[in-house]
Amino acid sequence: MRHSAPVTLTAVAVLLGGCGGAGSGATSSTDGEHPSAAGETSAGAAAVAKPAPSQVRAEPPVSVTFPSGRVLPVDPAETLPDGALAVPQDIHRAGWWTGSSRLGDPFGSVVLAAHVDSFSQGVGPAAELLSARPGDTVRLTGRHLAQKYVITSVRLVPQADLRRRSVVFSAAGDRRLVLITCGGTYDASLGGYQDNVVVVARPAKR
Amino acid sequence: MSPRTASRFIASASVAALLALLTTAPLGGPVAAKSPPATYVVQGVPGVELDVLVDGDVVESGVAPREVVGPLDISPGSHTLAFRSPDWEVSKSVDVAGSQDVVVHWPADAADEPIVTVFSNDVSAIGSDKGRLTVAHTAVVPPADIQANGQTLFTNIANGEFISAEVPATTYRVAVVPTGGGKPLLGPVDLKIEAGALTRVFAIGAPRDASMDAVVQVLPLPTSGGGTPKSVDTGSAGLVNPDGSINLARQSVWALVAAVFGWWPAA
Repeated sequence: MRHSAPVTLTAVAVLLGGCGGAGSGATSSTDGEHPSAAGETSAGAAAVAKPAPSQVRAEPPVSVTFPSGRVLPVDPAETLPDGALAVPQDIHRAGWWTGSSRLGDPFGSVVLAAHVDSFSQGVGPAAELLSARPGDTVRLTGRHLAQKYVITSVRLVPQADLRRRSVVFSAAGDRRLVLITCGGTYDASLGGYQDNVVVVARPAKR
Repeated sequence: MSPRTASRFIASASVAALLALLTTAPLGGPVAAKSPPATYVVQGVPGVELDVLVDGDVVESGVAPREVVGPLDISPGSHTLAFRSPDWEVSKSVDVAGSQDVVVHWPADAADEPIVTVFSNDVSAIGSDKGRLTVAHTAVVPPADIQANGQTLFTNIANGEFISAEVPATTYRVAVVPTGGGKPLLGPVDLKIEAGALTRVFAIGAPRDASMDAVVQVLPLPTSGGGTPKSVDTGSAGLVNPDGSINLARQSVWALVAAVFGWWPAA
């Protein structure tokens, strides 16, 4: 276990080979042998540093697969000035909070949210999260990376308490996936669903 | 303003630029990192003071080890950067573009002269409670691992390489250890990772003359995400019971109303 990096991801990038376009653009391809040293460029030009071969290029998730096998595309989602996360209105899409961790980051929550239902579209795929159980699996994919997670908890959290649960939004702690939708008692006079459903999933051991 | 004087104002100037960026940037989507080009010089050769020359002109003299000079007043495009000590002078062409650090340092193996390596700075937006950490290997040691709080964070970084990750903003106990095990080459030392900033660590020097050291440079970054959400509203119609089953009463009313308003069959 000498090389047990904390991040163990399916590096699809290696299989696809040299897929350009991802990453910072400041770095060249690294999926190859360990170069012996820098400074071997043409005479006169300064060497340009390379990322180490073990560099993981974290990336935003682009799709999530629920335990049933249902796949939802994932869009980036910001927090609005009023503090509400701008979850996609389309119940068939999930939103990834852009302030949260990415696929491949070594720590923290990857936060996804999806509407459980809407007046215009009815019941959404995220409804299955209410009956998800520990042990069920969820899969997250990016353009080059993929990660399977195992659900460890499914909880109803009063909406006002969501922010106080550090596991939900924190950048700290072991890397995890947090799926959020709505649930609990529905009271139209109090604004609708009273709770958030919070599903926490940890990377599957391989 | 001399480059070194300017370096003292990097932080404040960059914050001002950042504020200007934030106030003019539209909402929605991560703020694109459109920072002006900035080239810094990192003096990574222990035990000697260097003169820094750009296109033949001395822009800074007597630069001590671990000192960071810049950003240089230099136009985009190719320039010749030279580093002069009493014993040697290395001169290299550098393509000036984006945010980057030009590091003069010893290679991994014995050599008569230091080498020059250019490291690009990833100044893209980051979550507001995270910092981006980049560790650059510019020391006279074989490939190394980086441990944070006793755990291996990065593996197998060779001289002239770097590795980067986004981590929670806090203070870490960091050590550089040989890949494959052995006594730390450097540290453990406390390293504070600031939120919304890029912290770059250059490992320099050599264990054989106890000159191993680290240069730490911090650059502010734009932040993404808009802050921790206060609320996540992900339902409106009340069609789902607390146990996840469909609320048949509301579902049939909804279907009726949806049919009337022409929503059906939207789902």
